[in-house]
Amino acid sequence: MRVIYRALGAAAGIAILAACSSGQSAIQPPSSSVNVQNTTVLQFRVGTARYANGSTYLNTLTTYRQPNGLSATLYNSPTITGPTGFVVPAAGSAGTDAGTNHISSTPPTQPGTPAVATTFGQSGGVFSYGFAPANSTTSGAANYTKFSATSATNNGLTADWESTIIVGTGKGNTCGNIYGDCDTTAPPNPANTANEAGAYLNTYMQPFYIPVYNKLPFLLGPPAVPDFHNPSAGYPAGFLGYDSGFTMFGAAPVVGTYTLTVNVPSANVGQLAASFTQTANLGSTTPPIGVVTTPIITPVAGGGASFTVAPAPGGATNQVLYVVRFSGSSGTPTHYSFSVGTAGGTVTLGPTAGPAGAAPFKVGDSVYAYVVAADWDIVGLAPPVNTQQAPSLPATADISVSTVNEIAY
Amino acid sequence: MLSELTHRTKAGLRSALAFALLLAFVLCSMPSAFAQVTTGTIQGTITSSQGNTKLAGVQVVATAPSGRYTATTDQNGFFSINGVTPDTYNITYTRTGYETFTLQGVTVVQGQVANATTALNQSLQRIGRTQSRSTAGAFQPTQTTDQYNVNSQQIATTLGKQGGNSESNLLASIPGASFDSSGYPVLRGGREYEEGFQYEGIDYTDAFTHQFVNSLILNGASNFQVQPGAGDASIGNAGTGAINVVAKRGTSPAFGQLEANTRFGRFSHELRGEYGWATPNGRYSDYASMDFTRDALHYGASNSDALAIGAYFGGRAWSWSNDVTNNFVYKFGKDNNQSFQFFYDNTQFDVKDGYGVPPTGLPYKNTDPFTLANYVAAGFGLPYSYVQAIMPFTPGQRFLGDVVGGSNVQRNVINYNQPNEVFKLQYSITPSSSSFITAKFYRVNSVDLFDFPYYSTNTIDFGDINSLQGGIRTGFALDGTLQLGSKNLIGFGGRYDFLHPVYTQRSATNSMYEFAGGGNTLDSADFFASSNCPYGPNTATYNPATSTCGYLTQYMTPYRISTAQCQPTMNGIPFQVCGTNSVNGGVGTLPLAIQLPYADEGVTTQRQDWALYVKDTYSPTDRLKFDLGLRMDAANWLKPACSIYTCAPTSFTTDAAGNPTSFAFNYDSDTSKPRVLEPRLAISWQATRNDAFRFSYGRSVQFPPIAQVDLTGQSTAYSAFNNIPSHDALTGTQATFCSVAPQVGGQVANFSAPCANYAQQLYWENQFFLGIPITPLKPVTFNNFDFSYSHLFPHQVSVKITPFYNKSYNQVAQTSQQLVKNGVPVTDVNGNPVLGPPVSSNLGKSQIMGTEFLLTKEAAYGLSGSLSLTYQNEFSNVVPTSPNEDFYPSIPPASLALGNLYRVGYLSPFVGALALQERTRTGWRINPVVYYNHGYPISPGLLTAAYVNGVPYNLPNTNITNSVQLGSNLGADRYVDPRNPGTAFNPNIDATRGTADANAAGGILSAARFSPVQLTVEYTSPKNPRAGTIGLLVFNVFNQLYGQPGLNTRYQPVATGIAGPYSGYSSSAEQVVPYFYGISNYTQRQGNRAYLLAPSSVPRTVELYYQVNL
Repeated sequence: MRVIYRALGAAAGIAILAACSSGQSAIQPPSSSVNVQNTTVLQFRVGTARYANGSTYLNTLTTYRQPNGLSATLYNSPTITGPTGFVVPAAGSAGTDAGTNHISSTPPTQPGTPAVATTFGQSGGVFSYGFAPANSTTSGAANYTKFSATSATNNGLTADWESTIIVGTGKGNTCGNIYGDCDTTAPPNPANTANEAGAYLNTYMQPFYIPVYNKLPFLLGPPAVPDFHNPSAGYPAGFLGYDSGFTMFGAAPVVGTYTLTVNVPSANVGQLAASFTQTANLGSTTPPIGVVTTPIITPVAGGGASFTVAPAPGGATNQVLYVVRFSGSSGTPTHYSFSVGTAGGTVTLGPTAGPAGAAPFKVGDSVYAYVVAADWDIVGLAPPVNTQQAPSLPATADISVSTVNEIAY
Repeated sequence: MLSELTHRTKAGLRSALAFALLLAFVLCSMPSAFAQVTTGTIQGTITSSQGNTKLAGVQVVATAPSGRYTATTDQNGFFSINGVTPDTYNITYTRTGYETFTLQGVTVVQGQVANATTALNQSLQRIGRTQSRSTAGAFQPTQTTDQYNVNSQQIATTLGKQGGNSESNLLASIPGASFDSSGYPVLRGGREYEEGFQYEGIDYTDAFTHQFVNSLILNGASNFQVQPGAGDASIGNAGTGAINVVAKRGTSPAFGQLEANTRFGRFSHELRGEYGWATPNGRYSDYASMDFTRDALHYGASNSDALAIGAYFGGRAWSWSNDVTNNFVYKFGKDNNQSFQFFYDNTQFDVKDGYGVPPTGLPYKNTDPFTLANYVAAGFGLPYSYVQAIMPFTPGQRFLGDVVGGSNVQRNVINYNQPNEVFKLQYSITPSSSSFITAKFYRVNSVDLFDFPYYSTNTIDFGDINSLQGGIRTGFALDGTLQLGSKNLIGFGGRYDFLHPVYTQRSATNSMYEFAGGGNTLDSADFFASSNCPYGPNTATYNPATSTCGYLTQYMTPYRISTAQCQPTMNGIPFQVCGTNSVNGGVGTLPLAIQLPYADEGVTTQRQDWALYVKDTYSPTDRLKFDLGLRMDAANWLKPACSIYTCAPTSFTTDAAGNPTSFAFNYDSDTSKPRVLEPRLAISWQATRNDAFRFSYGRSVQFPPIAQVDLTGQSTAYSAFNNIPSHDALTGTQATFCSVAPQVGGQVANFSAPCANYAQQLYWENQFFLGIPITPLKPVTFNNFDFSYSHLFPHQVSVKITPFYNKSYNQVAQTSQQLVKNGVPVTDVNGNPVLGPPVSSNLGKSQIMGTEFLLTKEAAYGLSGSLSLTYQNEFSNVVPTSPNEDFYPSIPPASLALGNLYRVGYLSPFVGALALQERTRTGWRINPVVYYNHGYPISPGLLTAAYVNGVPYNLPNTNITNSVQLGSNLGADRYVDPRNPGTAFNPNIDATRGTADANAAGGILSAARFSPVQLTVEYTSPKNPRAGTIGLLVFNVFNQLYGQPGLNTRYQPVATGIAGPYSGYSSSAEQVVPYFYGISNYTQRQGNRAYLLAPSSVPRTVELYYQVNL
């Protein structure tokens, strides 16, 4: 007789008879593998990032793709080594990179073995368009950008608990901050977990190394990219948007050559399936792109809004408007973006521009808008539009980020 | 017609018939199962060799060690002897004016007619002529239904020696029989409970799962019979076929054997013996056998490969079986024409898993960091110590630091304790040589204990369980045969079984899972007592608005583990739970909390099975035979009346707001009192002396096991909460989900049933985990067709080939619905629906076609043996490779809506066995046995069924779509680009596992292998056979340890065909502590390839045995 065992909603059985187990033998099914070293291409650029808080940081732009433009691998370990004089600041998130000239990741180790804390850790890798904490695991989950909320009342924009206003005006609320997080007890407190903030998963809030409340997500949404909000289109549930390709590090840029090394591991710990090295040169630490004007948000009847973007500052060849909507009830953000060019202008999310033709905003929502000016076409090189294995990158990758405008819709 | 009944009065026969029919009629109000008989028939027509005239008045005497039977031929020269105990008979024919002639070697098997037709000479007496054919060869020209009989010699050949006890290996050598991917025997592709399994005419299945109860230990069998398909009308509730084993009987002269053996390669030994005797007049006989085995099976666990992939706990440590059987028969009456039989069998089978338990023992779940981490990851948001504070101890666990096994054993366990005790009391009467009636009363008592305090190592889906499972089957049966004239052999009978299932299953980890599971209304805060919070009965100052105490603490005293109970460290590793939390004067205590009750399962339903059948074997000529039969299998399900608290409603009325107000439960009557008529037709035709054909059609039925109908939570488990008002943590008010409505979904879910108290609330939380308490189900019905051609070659070589087809409907399959609580569909944080447990339904279906092939060569000396091959191609709407595919099969709602059919995953499409024996006249016997298995479907397939925005589609199977199919997203073999995933319709595949695949799940098979080869060499002195037999049996000659590969559910994709460094490891970051409690490989990976291949066979074993013939 077999034991009846049911768990997690599904039954599972256990063979219990010695004789029953004595029968079959078999071998592994055959499998084939790709040659990652020969079939994938890594590109790397550096530049400056003029950030909304007035600081200038190191910016990077990477692509690492298969011939069809998809991400080259699902797991890799990158390390950026800066020129002499480049120093990773002593931020907690830098781990052992602090004080060194490299921004590194942690090679895979056997689970359970204490891992060295580094900037990218073991989850960070290079993907088709930028760095992301999306290295595969054994859970089989797709590491696209999602949002995790521990409470239906959560509407936080950042991952951090008890974060304060990022940049911009801030509207405030009865809890004393804009995120609706009324918890005043440090976790873990089982009685108050419901009030902790939610978090972006599998994408970096940027720039690295700066206080969490000054970071922003840079995810491309419609109409700049195909509308993935429509549930009948079959996009995976929880997918928030595409990468913008750039990654900012809250370290002072230094003139010189930066080297990106990417290791692709194999199943045998300590062995590599492939390894790549690319260099990029930063000729000047002076941001070539001026200050970007904060966009203006104007609600329109029926649940939409228009966004006015000023002309791009000098040095920019392109501007992207990022719009983020947080619902006070669902807690899950919705991302929109526009490629507005250097001329700027007014763009509108109409009353039917939301998911499945619904209004993009409703009363009670928080709406955030910010602009990135760059010296390359951010959207044009981004998936899913761009499927080139090695798209043409600018000589340097410079950006300028506006402050955030936020309204309570 | 009854002219040969000269020594019995017709009145007496009529009385017996009347009694039988009356009894059969009475049985109409009662029940089972497969009512197969344990006796056979001898019949024939006697002619004069001169002129070929039929001879009346020939005295026929059939004798064998186990019995003696007589008859006289009628005016057509015909005789028939019914109720013959299976054995090999010498039949003597005597008639004045003719020489007395003895036909030797007529073998009788259960349910079969042995042909003893012969011709007598008008000359001097001559003795001796050997019957040319055994009943175990492939050529059986008078066999109407498809069946395979294995006699004791073939059993010995297949199992390597006399007295071999592996019923599994024996089954594997028979066409139509194979093993499912879990190792359980199945017939013609049926599921593992869809077959009849009888020993000595008793249904040897347990009352709860309808699975065999003797652990497939073969002891005391004289004849082994497998009947794929419907069989004749005497066979019922047997799904796709039946296995029938008949026990040996005592004989005169007596026989016996004693064997001792020991095995090298694994620590094992066996003591086995049998003895059968009878008084010379046959009045008393008895047969007793015993088989005591001690086996330290460790499979490949000692192999370095096994250790490398973490099979540390996979091997079986130790098994222990005692099997005793006794078969006593007392005959009386004229010519011993009546008998009482008392048959008794007792099997004790214990297994202890976890070979290599470290000296320090294994932790319980509530001190196991893996388990605790999983609970934390599952959404508790609680520190370990809080989880431990509310998690109940595993049954039998005495304190937190208690461990299982090892040198400092606190509580030793037997993981499987499988006893069964069976007896049968049977009365038989032979009113005349051509009629036979038997009535029997029997009981099968089999309640197994499954005790896994620590089962599995690092996932919460295999928590601890402590379960009693099985039940008692009590039955009464009556069977009769009656020869009407020379052409009609009538069979009739009935059976009643009462099934009293036993099932309880307590689990601490399941309790925790329910607590953390999706959509529950329990709040951890309700269970905890904060510092300085008044608590306990009669001290309540609880105020929901202001108090920081847990809700329950005002009614119950929180549990606290004392400092003494909470060992601070073990092997130098501190327990994280033993902090210094000082609460209410406690020092070194855990957080105070109300402990959760166990998750507890049970069963309330019982069942009566009953059946009636009648059949006629019509033989217009010696070469043509028709079997016509009609059977009715019936059941009375004894379950609580359906209500919204027990069953899913079939319809309901609503109020103006659309909320259900009253419910109807108009289930098909087949779900409560099914009555299934099953016609059976079989034809055999011997076209030539050496060629025969047969065809049969039969409808057969299988009642769902009670385990599939009723899994009711044990309300008594929550009695401590009876006096506490219900409290929904989400609303702060009385919970309103205490009915099946939330599990049904749709509009029914809007029905609000207030929970009377907190105990009810907990009960229904538990039930949401188990499924709807009572799920009325119809019987599964099969239509079986098969056809055989057989041929007899010279030198006793014969072949039989049998194409077959079977189609079933009303197959039991489970589906899930979205959970609804308090009228609100439950979703997770991403808006995905939270599905309830799979609920049984009759929505499954399957069809199979295949071919059986058997070649036999029979010889007393020289080469003999058999070759068995089975091809089977089965399709079902159950998704293959899903867990428990052939016991609790589940169909994803999308696949069901699309009507998808898949090739079943639990079945190997091609299996075979070759068993050869070379016996020399100098006393040597060489006996190789080889099994072949073409492998099982193992691929998850390129397509999967899933809903997109409420519409079902067959979508590319990737890690973003197959979660609906397999119940987890771990089974994908293609992975999307995480930064550009595409859509479910057109995913951007970034990498695959690198293995070939086909669209449908199960599209590829594991590679084929000849699996464990067995070889026996033995010697028996031809001059002095009583000196005994000495033999050497080598099992698994080539030491093939590895079994069926399975998809690596811990596969980490890097690029196509390239696995990542974590492949095989749990993704849980908490599976750390590589030397936890000194268990060096507790956290080891499962394997780093796309498919896992674990050692699952016992290693090469050399058995030395010595058998003494008594």
